[in-house]
Amino acid sequence: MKKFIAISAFTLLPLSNAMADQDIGCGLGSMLFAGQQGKVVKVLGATTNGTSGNQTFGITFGTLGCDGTGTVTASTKVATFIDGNMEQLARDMSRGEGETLDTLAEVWGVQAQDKAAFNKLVQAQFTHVFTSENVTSQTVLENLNHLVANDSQLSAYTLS
Amino acid sequence: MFKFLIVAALFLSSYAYSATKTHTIAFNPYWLKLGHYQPSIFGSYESEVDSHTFFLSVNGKFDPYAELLASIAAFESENNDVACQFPARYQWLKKSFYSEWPELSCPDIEQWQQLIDPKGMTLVFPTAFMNDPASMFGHTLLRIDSKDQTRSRELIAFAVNFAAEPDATDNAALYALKGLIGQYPGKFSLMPYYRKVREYNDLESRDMWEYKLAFSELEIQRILLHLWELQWATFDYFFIDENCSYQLLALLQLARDDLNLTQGFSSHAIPSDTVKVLGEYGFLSTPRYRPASGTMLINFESQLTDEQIEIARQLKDGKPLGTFSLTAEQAVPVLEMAYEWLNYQYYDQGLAREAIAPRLTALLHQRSKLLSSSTFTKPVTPRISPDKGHDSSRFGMVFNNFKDSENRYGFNYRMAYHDLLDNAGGFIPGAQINFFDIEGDLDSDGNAYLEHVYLIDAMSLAPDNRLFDSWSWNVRVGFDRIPTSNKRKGRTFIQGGYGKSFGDASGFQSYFLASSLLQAGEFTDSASVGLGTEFGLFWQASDAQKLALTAQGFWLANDANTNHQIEFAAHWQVAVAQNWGVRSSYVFQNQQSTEQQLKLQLFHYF
Repeated sequence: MKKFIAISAFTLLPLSNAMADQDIGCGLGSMLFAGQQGKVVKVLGATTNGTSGNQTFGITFGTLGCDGTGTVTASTKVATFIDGNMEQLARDMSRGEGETLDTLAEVWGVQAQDKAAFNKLVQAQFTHVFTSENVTSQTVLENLNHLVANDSQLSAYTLS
Repeated sequence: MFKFLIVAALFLSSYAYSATKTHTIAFNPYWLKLGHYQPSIFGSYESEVDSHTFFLSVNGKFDPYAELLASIAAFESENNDVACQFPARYQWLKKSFYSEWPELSCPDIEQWQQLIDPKGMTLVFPTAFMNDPASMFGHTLLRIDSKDQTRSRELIAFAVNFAAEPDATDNAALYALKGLIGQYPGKFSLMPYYRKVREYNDLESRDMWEYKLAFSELEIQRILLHLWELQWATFDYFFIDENCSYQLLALLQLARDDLNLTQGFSSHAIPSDTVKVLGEYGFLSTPRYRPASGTMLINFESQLTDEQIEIARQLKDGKPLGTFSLTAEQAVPVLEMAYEWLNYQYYDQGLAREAIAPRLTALLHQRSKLLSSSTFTKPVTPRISPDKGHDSSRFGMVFNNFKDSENRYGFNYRMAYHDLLDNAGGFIPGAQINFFDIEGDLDSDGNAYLEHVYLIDAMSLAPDNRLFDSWSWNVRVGFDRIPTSNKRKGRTFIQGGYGKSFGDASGFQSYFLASSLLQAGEFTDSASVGLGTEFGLFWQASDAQKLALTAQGFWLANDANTNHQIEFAAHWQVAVAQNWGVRSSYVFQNQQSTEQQLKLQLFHYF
């Protein structure tokens, strides 16, 4: 499932150029923000514990890059995590706390002393991160990176 | 000539020695585990792996010896591709028998190991869905905990999952059927742990239990080396036996030469039982609990007043926050509740995204404007974890006393899994599912009777709360006996009810169902149809004691002998230990005639 890459003001950031052709998160996706519905998945999951969605996982999944070769870069890790946790991130960010937000800070590489500032920033600017219910994970990542880049305490964590 | 004989003898004996050696290795338990071989009734072996790519010998699936010879031949050739495909085989053979072989050098595996960076391993057990007894069987998976893992990095740890790979074009019914009869290939896969947390905790609303396993780093490396080999393996996925839990045990037992975790799971493997096996071997520690979205929601609900619930309901339905005059502190809990509630409904009821997603996003936008922390406390961990619950099979000694006929003594057996009178600790409250429950007994003249066979006997009692209306239901299919004017006669029947329940499964719970019945047997000339009701009251008097009063009455549409069928019963079960219980019952039945019965049962769960 190729994600629609939103064209926004942030596409001028180096990050989005670097990632413009990537299928973020190896085709993982959010149920709510990606616009699928849940009931069918739930019925099917009950008997064979099959994975929902149409992506396949292998033993080397997530260790050799999405196509099974090469390595996983730091920004791909962040992108993959955001893509697989859109709703939980949205919930945590709106509250400025939570396990998923803590994990994002870890994956992003935010040091312990800056985590409180990171959480505060994303809550205060939440409406500029999750701009609407149709936001893509790519845009969320770009929006977050833009916020981080423009924050005096956190700008060192800007992804490129 | 003499010299020649000596040389020949030496040659032959060394040949014989090496043949004996390889033959010994081929039937070494560890080699059999590496190939997933199981002995068959004729003394031969067959591997549970069904793909050719997992075997180097054409007949490898059925011949551990041929597979060993093919492996050794491949490993001793110049090219190390095959060794890098089957590193666990290579390492074990080298360590135990062929120390002269060179060190394994496989860049792909090394990179893979480096990224996984394993330190520990955790067994993860998502329990049943609320209000869905069929999912009681649960699922198990593994999490590989890396060396730099803190609690906040747990979500990005790797999960090892065994699952069927279904054909996406099959419909739900076909899917369930094919899953049962092993028509889908099962495969191991690796994925980020959050993927499974989202699936089970959030989407399916299943509580998860995480048991840290007591394996050393070295043992975990052995397990992972074999996992690498399983890239080339597919298994026919059988829902009942060769399922996820069985296959995880088959993988974990590679940790040690002498570990045999899969023995004893020849007929069926229920995830909670496989968890217990690991407990018996001392691999489990106190588990951590990850409450499901539904558990969180009910827990939040319990912390709010009626007025707050009402505000949350209106916010959920789209009313703006501004219509209520609330301080920031007052707004935080109702906004969070509204979001959780709507989000749960969205998935549980499969609501239309176009209508719901904008409302959810608006609720979050409003919440983000309030800087106060959440005031909700987290759900408490249930006192009894699933591994501390009773085992799933049950054997009973029975004494049946009938008012109008002789006493009988007998036995009963239930294949699986849990009924509402069994000790509830470690199980989902208010959910019952019995598969294949049979009872037979003898009177003093030595006459044998089949008292009942229930193929399935399931019940789900989900009470309404302030957030949801829930429905309760039951279904029972099988054979039992009912009183007639001269003796208790057999019938085959199917019965189902649908209705409401009230109260709390951990305290007092009552239910009322509208039911229908279809039955046939020696007591009647033709099949009869019944319509009626069932009601009951359950009381969890203490951790170890459960009492119940139940009643059912049917009006029979086309029975030549009688137009009604009534039953009252009272039950009392005392759990005397985790796997022992005593149940006393009184049953009053009226059909063509009246019978009263006292029943005493001593149960052992195993």
